[in-house]
Amino acid sequence: MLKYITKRILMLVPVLLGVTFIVFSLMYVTPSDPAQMMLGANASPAAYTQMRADMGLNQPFFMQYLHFLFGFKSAVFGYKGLLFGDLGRSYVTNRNVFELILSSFPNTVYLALGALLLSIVVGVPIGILSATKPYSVVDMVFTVFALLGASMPVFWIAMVLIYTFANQFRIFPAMANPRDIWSLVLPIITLAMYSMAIIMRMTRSSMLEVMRQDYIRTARVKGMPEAVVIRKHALPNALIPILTVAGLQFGALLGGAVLTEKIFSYPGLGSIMVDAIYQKDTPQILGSVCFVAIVFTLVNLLVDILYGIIDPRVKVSMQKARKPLLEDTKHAFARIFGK
Amino acid sequence: MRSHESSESKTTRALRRFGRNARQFWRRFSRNKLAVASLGLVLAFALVAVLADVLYSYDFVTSNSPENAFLKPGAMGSVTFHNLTFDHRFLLGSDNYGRDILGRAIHGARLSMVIGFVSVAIGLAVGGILGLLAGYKGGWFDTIIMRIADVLLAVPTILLSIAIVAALGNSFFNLLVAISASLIPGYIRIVQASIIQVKNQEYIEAARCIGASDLRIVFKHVLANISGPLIVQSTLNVGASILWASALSFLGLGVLPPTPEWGGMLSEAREFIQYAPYTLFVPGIAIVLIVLAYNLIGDGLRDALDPKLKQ
Repeated sequence: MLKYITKRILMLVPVLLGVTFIVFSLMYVTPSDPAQMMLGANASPAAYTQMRADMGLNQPFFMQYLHFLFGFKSAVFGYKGLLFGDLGRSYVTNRNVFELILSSFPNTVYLALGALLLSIVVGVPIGILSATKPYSVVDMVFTVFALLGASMPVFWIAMVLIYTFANQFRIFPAMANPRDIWSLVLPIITLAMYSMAIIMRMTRSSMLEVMRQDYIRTARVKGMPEAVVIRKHALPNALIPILTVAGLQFGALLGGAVLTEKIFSYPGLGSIMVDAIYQKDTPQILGSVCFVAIVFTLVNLLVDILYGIIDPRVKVSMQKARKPLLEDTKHAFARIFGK
Repeated sequence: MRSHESSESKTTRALRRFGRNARQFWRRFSRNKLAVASLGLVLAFALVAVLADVLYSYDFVTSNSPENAFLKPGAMGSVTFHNLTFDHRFLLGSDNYGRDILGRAIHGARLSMVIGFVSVAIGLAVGGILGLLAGYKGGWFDTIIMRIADVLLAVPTILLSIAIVAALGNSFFNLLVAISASLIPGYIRIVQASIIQVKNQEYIEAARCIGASDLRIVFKHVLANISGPLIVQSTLNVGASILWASALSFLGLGVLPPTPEWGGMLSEAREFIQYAPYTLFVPGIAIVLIVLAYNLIGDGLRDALDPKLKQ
């Protein structure tokens, strides 16, 4: 197990380096000119050249990438580099890039955790209900509901909720802030819609899969009440893939919070990222996108490892085969929603 | 035996086989009533998209007439367009610039259909070929391609497309590039994994033994066996691309106004939902319907194409 975990963590290094390289290259080709931005339109050519040198923009591409990773020495624009958690200051707000990220990230986590909790609390029981009566009216209704949840654009859900509950009925505020729990209700519902649908569908198919097995039939034949069969025998086994999908959803929620945060003017990482993109604030964009990608990858790794801990079968397969069982779950997941 | 077969030309036989397969496929697909209804809906949207210019002229739906702003659905308005003044019924109302919402939604349908199909086509072609080469050839090529796919998958999809559009700039073409690029790693993964699964099976070995070329094996045997999941995935991806495109346009990172795009329309409607809620519902419901339809068709195709469920 430990060997497996170490191997997985070591495998992360090239992937994360690749992410930083791709994000950096994308920002490099962006047709914006930070030096011009800093100086304003009517700067002298000499000042402009000096500014480009100060900002390290006159260096070749690969040198700039190395600076980005390992730091850059300059009186005003110097920084220690991504590897040391320092990308200098934002071009627009002049605040330290990572300080801003770290101060806003918890807000995004609250939102994502709330949404995840809501989708599990609603999705799992409904999924079980659907699985106990497959193809019944109840099942059909929830199937359509789940598909609807997966088909609605996040920003549209948010706007409809704002229109209904903030403008018409004035129950919840249209703007959210992390200190007011009441104001978080609408963004959490918005964000939860998609993952709720996924978890609902996953629970249904996972339960159906388990209910078909011999040991369930044995339990029934012994005269065990159906509720006990479901609670004691089917659910524990069905929960394993569900928890995995829920974990993967958490990573997706962190990334998906961008639109929700923007609409509810919520001070999370997503809002910061979008604003940075509007303002062409390169260090802020680089920092936030790399940060989210790293967190996303780490969460997925954590889910992989936890999966091995809760399911003893995986532990064996991890030691024997190279392909963990999680891959199967991912495929099952892809079969349901194509994600 | 030979003489009997040659009484029919090769093409007629192929056509007959195709017809038989198609009928069989349709029989299985049509069992799922929701999927058939969704197919009808998608075709209706496609028809409207094709006829968009006939129904409403593009210039008309993109030109402002401030005196007609926020007309309620069904209201009449007097429009001056190309130096002509005429009465026009705004069937689904007008937006803040006095533009016909139905007309804009119809032109938006055209854009969304194109984005959905083209980005999936690009993603499937590029990702499919790379995944195919990686899976079939193996070795260092496989390693490199799969590592690149891993890297791209490590960035949440929506973020990757946002970053690409932000880097390349706002345009319809860049939006297509961004969405296709986000689809590519997924396709590489599926195709590579299925090819590895298929390529060591006995019938492939048998084909190789009778001297079939790599190209023939790939097209006749390998692709034929993985086409099912690919078709299902692509159908679902068309829906997902439409969602992403609207999300990017909503953020102002895709197609720019005044181009009628559903996400862009919603972005404009956002400030006025309080007194013109209908501006919010038309494009939103259009997106939900088309994406839902693609999801349901994908569901139906999955059942229809799964050989295990043939009986």
